[in-house]
Amino acid sequence: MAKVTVDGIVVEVPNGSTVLQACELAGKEIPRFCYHERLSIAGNCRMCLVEIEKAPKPVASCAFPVADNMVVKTDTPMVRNGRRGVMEFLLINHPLDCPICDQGGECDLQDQALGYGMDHTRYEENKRAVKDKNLGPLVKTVMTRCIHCTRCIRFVTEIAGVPDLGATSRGESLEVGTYVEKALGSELSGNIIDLCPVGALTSKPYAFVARPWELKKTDSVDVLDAVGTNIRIDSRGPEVLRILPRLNEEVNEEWLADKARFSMDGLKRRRLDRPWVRRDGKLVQATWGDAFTVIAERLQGVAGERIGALAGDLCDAESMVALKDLLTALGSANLDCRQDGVLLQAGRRDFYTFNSTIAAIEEADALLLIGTNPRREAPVINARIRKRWLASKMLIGLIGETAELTYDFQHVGGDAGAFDGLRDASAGFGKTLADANKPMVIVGQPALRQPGVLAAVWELAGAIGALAGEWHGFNVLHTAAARVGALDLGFVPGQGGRDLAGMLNGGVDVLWLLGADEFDTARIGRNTFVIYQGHHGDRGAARADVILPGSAYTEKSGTYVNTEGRVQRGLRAVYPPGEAREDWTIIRALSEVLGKTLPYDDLPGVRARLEQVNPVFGRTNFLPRFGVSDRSGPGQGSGRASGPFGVAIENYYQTDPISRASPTMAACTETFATTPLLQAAE
Amino acid sequence: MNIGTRIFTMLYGRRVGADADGNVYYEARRLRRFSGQSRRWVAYRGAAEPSRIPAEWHAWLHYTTNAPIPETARQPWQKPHQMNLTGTPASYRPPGHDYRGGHRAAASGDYEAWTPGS
Ligand code: SF4
Ligand code: FES
Repeated sequence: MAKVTVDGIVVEVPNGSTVLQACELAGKEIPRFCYHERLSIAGNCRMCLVEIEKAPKPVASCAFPVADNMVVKTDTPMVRNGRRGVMEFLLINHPLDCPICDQGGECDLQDQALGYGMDHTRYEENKRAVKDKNLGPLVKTVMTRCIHCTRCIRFVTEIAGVPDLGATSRGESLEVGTYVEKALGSELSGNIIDLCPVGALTSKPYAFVARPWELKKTDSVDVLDAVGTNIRIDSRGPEVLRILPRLNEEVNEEWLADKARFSMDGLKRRRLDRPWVRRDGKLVQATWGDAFTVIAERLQGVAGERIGALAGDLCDAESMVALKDLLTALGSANLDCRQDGVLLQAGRRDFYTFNSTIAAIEEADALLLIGTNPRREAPVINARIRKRWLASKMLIGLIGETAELTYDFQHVGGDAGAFDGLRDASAGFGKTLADANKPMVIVGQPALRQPGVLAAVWELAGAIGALAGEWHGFNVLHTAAARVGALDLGFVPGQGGRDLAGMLNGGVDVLWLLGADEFDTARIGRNTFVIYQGHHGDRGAARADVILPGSAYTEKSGTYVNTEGRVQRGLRAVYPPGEAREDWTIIRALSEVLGKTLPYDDLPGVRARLEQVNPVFGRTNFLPRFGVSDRSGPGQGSGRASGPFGVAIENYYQTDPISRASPTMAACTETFATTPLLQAAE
Repeated sequence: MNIGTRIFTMLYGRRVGADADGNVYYEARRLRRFSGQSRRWVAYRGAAEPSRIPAEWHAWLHYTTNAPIPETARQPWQKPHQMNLTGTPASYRPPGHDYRGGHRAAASGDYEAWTPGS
């Protein structure tokens, strides 16, 4: 520890920290452009100048290591003059186009020019002009505004892990760009928009749409993958204009995947905004009352076991618990949430969650990926793995289809047959795993579709020492945001109930689809009466006999459980369109028409019910770390695993009704469909 | 023109001209004591509605020009003068106003509803 005095305040910082970190600890804000906590230090903007006693010149605090008994001054005439000079140099070539710049109002350069800018310019020559680069359909560039902080380059190479962005030339003619024109091939590319301190990199779909001060900001949780990224929804009136990440060190740090950031224009297309009822083979518009009457009439005399319900991938826990309660009241145990046919059971929680927690990836020293491509299934988790790999050269093995990941890995095998080889602790990757202190196993959804894989992986994890009292190294990586919540609520076939396959092909007479679109609706029996409740007109709505318009995740206050089992709440940002309502209220209202009134009629009531069903819903944003207390594995089940696992996500950009309705995501699909990234995994 | 103005105009006024609308403009025959200008006024044809005065006469009436600008000196790009229609049935109504059918143009906040078959 080094003792540093900053403006008279004495702070203790670890050796090797920078002066800037010491100043922050002392509560002094240092202006900066290039320094960023999560990126390597570049020290090229010089805005962070401070004065250090006995140093002849002001020093750049972000790149200067502390020494014991250092005396730092952050607010002296020398410092202020230095920063003013730096600012003047930066503004030599920076255009004065704030009125037409999308960064206006949230621009670091604007803010710091307020403190250190001159009121006039002494520069009379022409300003530099730089050609804009085309970085694909997501990131817009106005390269004349670039101040060469290189944050974007450092992010793309260090965190996103693709060598796409770089700088050419030097001095005044330095230009940031892809060396040859190409789109940024990363699922995290949107983050460079947040990182760029000026308006050189802005969001293409959001160009010239709004100013930051017009927007209403709502905290929420992303549902387009199972990571549970914390997001902030910026909306104006009835419209969601953009989605930004929120800081959560334990989940997403400060990153957000592109699909979550850019697919919100899908929230304005193909919306279900009024109930529809099928009459004489054609869907016609109806009122809520009509729709409920039709359902009530159809349900008359139908036995409980002929009714079934499927929960989709984007559902909030509130609507699922309401639907489960309604079906139970109707006497049915036919529930399922596993549209992709994975063989996970509700019950013991560590058989279906990411037990190590995402943050603990940074402690692991060997990693085995089974039938998963985290780069596409959970880009933010993939960034964590890369971070760990960079920091420690963690050894990574992969069983399943090879893919272009952002770190080196050893391909151990293609199917479940490779498990046996890994038990051999004397050679190969088996030795790596056995030698590791904190080995980690991540198993993806495609692998879990094969019988016996869950048990086999659990056993393997036990054999390599991943199931210890202090370290739980068995992890399931989900792709559906609603899945863990549904399993927690027991949204799976109850006693004698039918599962997905049993409900299709005429297994039930009435099928309730709660936003379920990810299975082949042609397999639903011809005479099955389908009730679709959801927000987008997708596969399910096209097959439905009654459509009940629900709300998307931005339009309701919902509870979601991420792949780690972390319970998080999102708040409503905008109202659902037209006649659409919050999902659990629809089910509650219908239950009254059916004479089976559910015993809750406000949000706290439903949430109390959630907690009653499973106590984990009682604590949000909290996840205890735990080891393994019970090493007995899940049941083997019948059947044998065979053949390759396959992939969970064919096209990263279109995986759910919202992203399928989004024009931006369609443009991405078009752009990236031809890149080797997607070809490699196809 | 009410009776008082009519008598005043007969006693002191001199007709200067009339605009296309039929409003007649007068100025006093005698100069005012301190300003050295003669008083100028208008006798409306019909109801008194100041916005009916065309720009040329408005300028003269307010002492911007010494002599009235001839209405014949108009340029081809000048539109004919129109009085303020606010409060009349012909007043301006933005598109989407109920009296204009009530169908506003699509705005960015609108969503596209799903219909079967789309
Ligand atoms: S584009 Fe933005 S983030 Fe990248 S170097 Fe320029 S100013 Fe920095
Ligand atoms: S922040 Fe220190 S040099 Fe840029």
